[in-house]
Amino acid sequence: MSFINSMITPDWKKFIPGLILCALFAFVVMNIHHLLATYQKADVASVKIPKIEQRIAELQKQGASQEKLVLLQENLGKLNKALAAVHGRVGQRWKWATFLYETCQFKYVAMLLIGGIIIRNTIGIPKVFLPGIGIARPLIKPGIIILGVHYVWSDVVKVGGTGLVLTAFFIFGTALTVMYVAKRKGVSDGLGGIMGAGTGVCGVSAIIATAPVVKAKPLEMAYAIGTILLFGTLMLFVMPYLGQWLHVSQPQFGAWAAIAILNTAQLIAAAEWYGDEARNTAVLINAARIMLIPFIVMYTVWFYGLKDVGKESTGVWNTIRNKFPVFILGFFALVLLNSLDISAFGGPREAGTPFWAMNAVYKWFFALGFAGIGLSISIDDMKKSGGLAFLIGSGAATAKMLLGLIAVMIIGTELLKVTGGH
Amino acid sequence: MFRHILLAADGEDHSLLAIELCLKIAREFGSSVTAIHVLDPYLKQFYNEIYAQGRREYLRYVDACLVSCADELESSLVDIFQELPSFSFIRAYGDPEKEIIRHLHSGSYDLLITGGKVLSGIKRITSWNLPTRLEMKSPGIPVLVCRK
Repeated sequence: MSFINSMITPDWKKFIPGLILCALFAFVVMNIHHLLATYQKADVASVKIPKIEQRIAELQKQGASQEKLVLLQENLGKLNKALAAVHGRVGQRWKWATFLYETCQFKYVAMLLIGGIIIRNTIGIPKVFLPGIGIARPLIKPGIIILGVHYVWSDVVKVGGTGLVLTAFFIFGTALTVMYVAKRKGVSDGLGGIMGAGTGVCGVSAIIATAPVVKAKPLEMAYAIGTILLFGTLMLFVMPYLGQWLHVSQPQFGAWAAIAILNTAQLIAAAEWYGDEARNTAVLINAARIMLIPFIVMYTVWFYGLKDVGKESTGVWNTIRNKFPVFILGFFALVLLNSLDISAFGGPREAGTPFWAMNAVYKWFFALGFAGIGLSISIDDMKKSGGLAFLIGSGAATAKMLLGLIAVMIIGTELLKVTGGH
Repeated sequence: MFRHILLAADGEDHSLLAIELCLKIAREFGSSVTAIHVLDPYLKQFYNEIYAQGRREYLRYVDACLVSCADELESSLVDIFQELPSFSFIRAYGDPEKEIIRHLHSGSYDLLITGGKVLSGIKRITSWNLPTRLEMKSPGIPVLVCRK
């Protein structure tokens, strides 16, 4: 019992109101998303059904193969089902649903983030909800672990390997450039160190890991966090539309987001928003990216010659132990199980199997996490960006966005596409 | 005219100007001065960022920074204001705006002196401007903002 008690935080009750608020917000938004998706599918079905019926009639006249006909009839069945879901008839249109869902990409991610930002910065959030909202954000982690069922080891080697090379290049390239330029321009080690790590690896998470090591001052940390949040949020809303405009494929977008979006929460949100394939690539490359956190801390220690500070933070083993994101091992454990193709576990697309059930709940973890992210994006926090941190952040963010886009365009879609195996 | 001055100081460059001016006014009017320094736990809220590692170390570090900043400021202010007949230093914990306004309500102050950055153009609108908010929310007590 005492072991169980030791695992529970003593002031757990303060998290309950915020978590309930996030759950309610996520529940409402997921239902709106479902409604929009249903009507959008019905709208598409309403247009496609006559065309497919005509095609089937033509093929039957021509005496086409049974295989082709069966495939078309299956497709027709699905479309009829989509139309029946809204009790609609052929020719009836729901253009508003297509406009919102397809053209504006108004999906659950956008609704949670934009809605959350509007609520937080207009009517505001009472203090009693804030601790729970803060704790809702890391609920994305179980969602990421569950997403392990979407990969097999060949994906990890191909996409993860490409991603690891790509992210290592961009991470250390950014960190090296930012820290070098900062030192040359007389910026303090504290600010240079946290901005190098923050713009290089994964934003605020890297700043938290690095700040105690480089002894950043509180004001420098506030500037750096504000800057990262500002550019992370800007990119979250700009990149998906920019990607569509430039016809960037989903796997390419996933890799681009994993390279260019400074903050991890916003990265996952942008990729999920863009589509399932983009999310699969982004999550895998991001797994490679966050495993580099301990190494960026060690690099910072080496760069600034901080051998004598914070003994608990330095040293190869101590740094890896303290700064390694352990939860990512859960993700790789599921990748391993999925790769072994054990029939008892099934797969994410095999209804009724354990992996299918896990896949069905991941979106709820994401929804809770995104509700937490949206409700905690405060314009006041971003207003704290400023000083040299803003200059460094804007330069690094723009360079990573442009160079990242060029890199994924050169690599192409195939090398970045997750197959999911069986 | 000013019997009791509240000096809000955070140790930044612009608050040094406010400290100098506060000393001059206190000398002139024989005022007693209370300096308030708010330890703002703002940075601690980011400890649960999704992939944050070394959370405890980060929280300990932020606390240590806040306390060390307050210690440094207290010792330098005690030195600067030692010539005055009455000087006291208050450490508050929380949101600076709320804490300073709360103290303005609770004490018998005639003037609030604080520092601030010079703001121009768009920064006037976009900046997280504590002195302006203090001016707006002061309970009828004059606010002197020394901008640098």
